[in-house]
Amino acid sequence: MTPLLSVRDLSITVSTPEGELPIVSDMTFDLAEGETLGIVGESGSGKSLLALALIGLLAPGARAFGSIRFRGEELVGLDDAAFCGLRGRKIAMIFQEPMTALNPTMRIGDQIGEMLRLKGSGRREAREAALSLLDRVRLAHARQRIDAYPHELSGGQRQRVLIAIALAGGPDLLIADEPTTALDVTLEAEILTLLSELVREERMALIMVSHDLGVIARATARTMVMYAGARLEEGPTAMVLGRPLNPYTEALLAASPASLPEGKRLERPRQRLAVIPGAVPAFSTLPPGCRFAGRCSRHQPDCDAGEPPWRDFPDGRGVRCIHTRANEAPA
Amino acid sequence: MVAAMVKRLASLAATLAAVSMVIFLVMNVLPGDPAAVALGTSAQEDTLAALRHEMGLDQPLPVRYVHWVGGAITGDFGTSATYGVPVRGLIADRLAVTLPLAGMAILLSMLLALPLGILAASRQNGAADWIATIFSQLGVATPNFWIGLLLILVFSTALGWMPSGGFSGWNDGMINGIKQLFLPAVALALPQAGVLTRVTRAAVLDVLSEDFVRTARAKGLNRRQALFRHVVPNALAPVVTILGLQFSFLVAGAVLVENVFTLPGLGRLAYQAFTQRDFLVVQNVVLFIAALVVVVNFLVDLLYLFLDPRLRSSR
Amino acid sequence: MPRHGKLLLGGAITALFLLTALIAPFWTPAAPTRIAIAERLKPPLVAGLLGTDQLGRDVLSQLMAGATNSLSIAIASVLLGAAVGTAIGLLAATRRGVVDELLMRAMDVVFAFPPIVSAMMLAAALGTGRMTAIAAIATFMVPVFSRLTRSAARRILTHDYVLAARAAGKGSRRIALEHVLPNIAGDIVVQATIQLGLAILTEAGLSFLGLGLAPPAPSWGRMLADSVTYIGAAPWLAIAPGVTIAFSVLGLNLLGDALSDLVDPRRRQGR
Ligand SMILES: Nc1ncnc2c1ncn2[C@@H]1O[C@H](COP(=O)(O)OP(=O)(O)OP(=O)(O)O)[C@@H](O)[C@H]1O
Ligand SMILES: [Mg+2]
Repeated sequence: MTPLLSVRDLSITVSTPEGELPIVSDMTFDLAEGETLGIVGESGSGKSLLALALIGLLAPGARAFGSIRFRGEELVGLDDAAFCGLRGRKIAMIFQEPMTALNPTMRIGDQIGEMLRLKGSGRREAREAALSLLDRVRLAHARQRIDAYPHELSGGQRQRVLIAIALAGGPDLLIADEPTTALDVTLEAEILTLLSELVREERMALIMVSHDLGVIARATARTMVMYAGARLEEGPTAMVLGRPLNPYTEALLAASPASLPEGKRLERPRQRLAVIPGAVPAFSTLPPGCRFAGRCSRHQPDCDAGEPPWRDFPDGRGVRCIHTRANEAPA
Repeated sequence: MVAAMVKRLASLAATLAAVSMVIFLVMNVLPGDPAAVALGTSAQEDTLAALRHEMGLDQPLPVRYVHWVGGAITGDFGTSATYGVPVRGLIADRLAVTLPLAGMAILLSMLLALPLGILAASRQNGAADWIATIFSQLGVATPNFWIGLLLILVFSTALGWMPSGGFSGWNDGMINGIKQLFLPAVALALPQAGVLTRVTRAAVLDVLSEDFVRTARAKGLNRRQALFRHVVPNALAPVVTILGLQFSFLVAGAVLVENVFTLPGLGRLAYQAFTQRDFLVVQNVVLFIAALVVVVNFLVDLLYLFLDPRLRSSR
Repeated sequence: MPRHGKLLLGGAITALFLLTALIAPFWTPAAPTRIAIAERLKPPLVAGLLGTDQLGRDVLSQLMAGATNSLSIAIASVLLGAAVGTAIGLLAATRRGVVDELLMRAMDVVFAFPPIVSAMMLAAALGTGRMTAIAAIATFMVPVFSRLTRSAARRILTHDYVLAARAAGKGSRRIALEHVLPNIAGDIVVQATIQLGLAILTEAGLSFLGLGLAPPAPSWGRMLADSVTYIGAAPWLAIAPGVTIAFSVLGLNLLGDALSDLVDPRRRQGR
């Protein structure tokens, strides 16, 4: 069976005054129908670029190379008209910043029902659809709020509206780029619960981007760890967070409060992952070997010989680290 | 909302009152004797006194001010010395030229600038962008009265397609009137369009980088739909603001362009009255023009409320 | 347009303009006001580089002398308008409250008078001439500079170092002069460059209407006004001064844009 989404050797470059700069490189992963994948990594590791590439909305200076297949259809190089047919209906996306992601001069009901209207639904029909979507995302008093403007809603309410917009086309894949980063802890928990339920009910696949291991642990079955544009580890979430194979994952976990994998506690104060000593290398001066070498506690001379190859293990895990011996992964 | 309206109206009235006071003070208190100016340096003292009395100049200043403003509010601007008719009628006649002229100029400039500015921003650094940039730089730098002269040179002197000036009134039919105002309107519109193109381009570029445009695209809207449904409506507010601010330049431009094309408009009336030393007419036309500028800016403020729902509820 | 392009082109045009204005009082190809009826209405290159006008005066020489007049009036009015406007803006920003409100309303009032209109009004009271032209143009610039200064100053006043200075007991006048003014000087210079172009346009308009310098002092606007009568017979009389005005203003605007990019690189969408 072909997977829903199949990414092969994807790299993404951005144009800078100094020339084309590769940011994301050697990205490969599959996503089955209804599967949930978390992408985690420090700020600036290229998570948003990857997410935007999947929905074909890279900024003008950024370009994708390699292959992204959605149900077998190649998305890299797909022309915009064809991509418009996929966006919303097949692939939807929720963005990080609910305060600015809604059009301030348009009523929220109109923003939710907009695509329906453009596809020929009547005004009343689109409005009913918007209303039921607002109910689905559990916006309280949906009937009164459907005519509100975004500035009349709180951050959590706006994020629900954004989810409703994403659900409007009945997508098969939902990409959520840090959907809760701007929210406080209680709201974060509510929105994550809502997303998980919706994903299950609608049988959508989910790609959840976050720099927060707690969020990833809660919402996804598989996890991919990114560092400076490259994947360092991938596998079932419980295994990746429970028995990390890559020192970077370990460092991430150490930087987070203890015993995360159960994902039960989200009450801890919000923190960025930058508590690992050292800084992410600049993309223009990546080290010759492992990208994490400069900050790694298990750094040894071999690490700088060249970029470690990606290795897949039979149990569905994969890692990029020369330290990981095959027998470290459970057979 | 109502309270805000009342406050705005009160502020409008205060501004208008202050405007009228400034005009009155400049025209009446600064050194200079309108009667002497009107009669020339060789006038006899008793003729001067008689004229001063006739002009009401022998009364105390506050009385004269109240008399003038009171008249202006009820539409009585006094009688022109040189034309021998009520100033009110003069203004009304001239407005029938200046208002359509200004309206045509604004319309033309928007028809030119909005599409050009939007196109330039949506294809940044493309051909349209270059054309828009060159057009707006040249437009902003070129005096409108000189454009008027060039238009006369090309379209009436050389080609003979259009009248070189004058206006025969609206009685000969709409089309004829519009035709006679067309070249002057183009002369006024081109510099305006230069400014407007630039502002439209910048506003659209600003909005294009907003997050909600990406949300719209993620829904499945194509570039054009996102541009016209989400970007342009949000870019209109600054454009409208500039249009309001530019109104002042438009009026100033009308004074010049009406003189180039010898159109019997408000600007030419003011200028003629000035050269004929008919200061009552100058004073009243200046009041009228300044009030027009103030009121237009007030209306633009209201339009802003209409364009941006955030302002409606927060104030 | 590339940024250096704007800076170079704008700088070059402005330098040429400035140089001409400085040289003209000492040297022009012919005496700008010398009348030679026998030489009247000669086309370009037949007599002089740009021909002669209806009185046989050399057009190029008049344009050069006009540059001096135009630029001196423009500079004087921008300096005056910027000085008064900046002072008002600083006062409004540091005093806040009623003073702020009153000053800014007063600016609204002043802004209601287009310069051509206030020039007519002032000329009616004071007569025409250099001073009237300068006063009318400067008046219109005051609100522009006061609004700019006020909003820039208010932004600066919220910074920590200003709060620290205030806590250290510095008075608002010292804060305005020592902390605010140096920080907004760049914005003011940029605006002054752009307003210089506007002042030249306005001065041309005023002298076109006869509200500027009295004849025979050469001025671009009056050259255009005189050209109207001969527009069919001697179109160069209408073309040369207009191109000169547009070119000078274009140079100043390009320079202003380029400077604005330098002062605030974030605000680069304006081209
Ligand atoms: N259009 C662009 N042009 C130039 N550089 C870009 C562009 N988009 C992203 N970048 C750079 O690419 C890198 C990765 O950016 P990205 O937004 O994907 O990171 P992220 O992992 O999503 O981080 P965060 O957690 O902060 O959202 C950053 O260094 C960023 O500066
Ligand atoms: Mg991101």
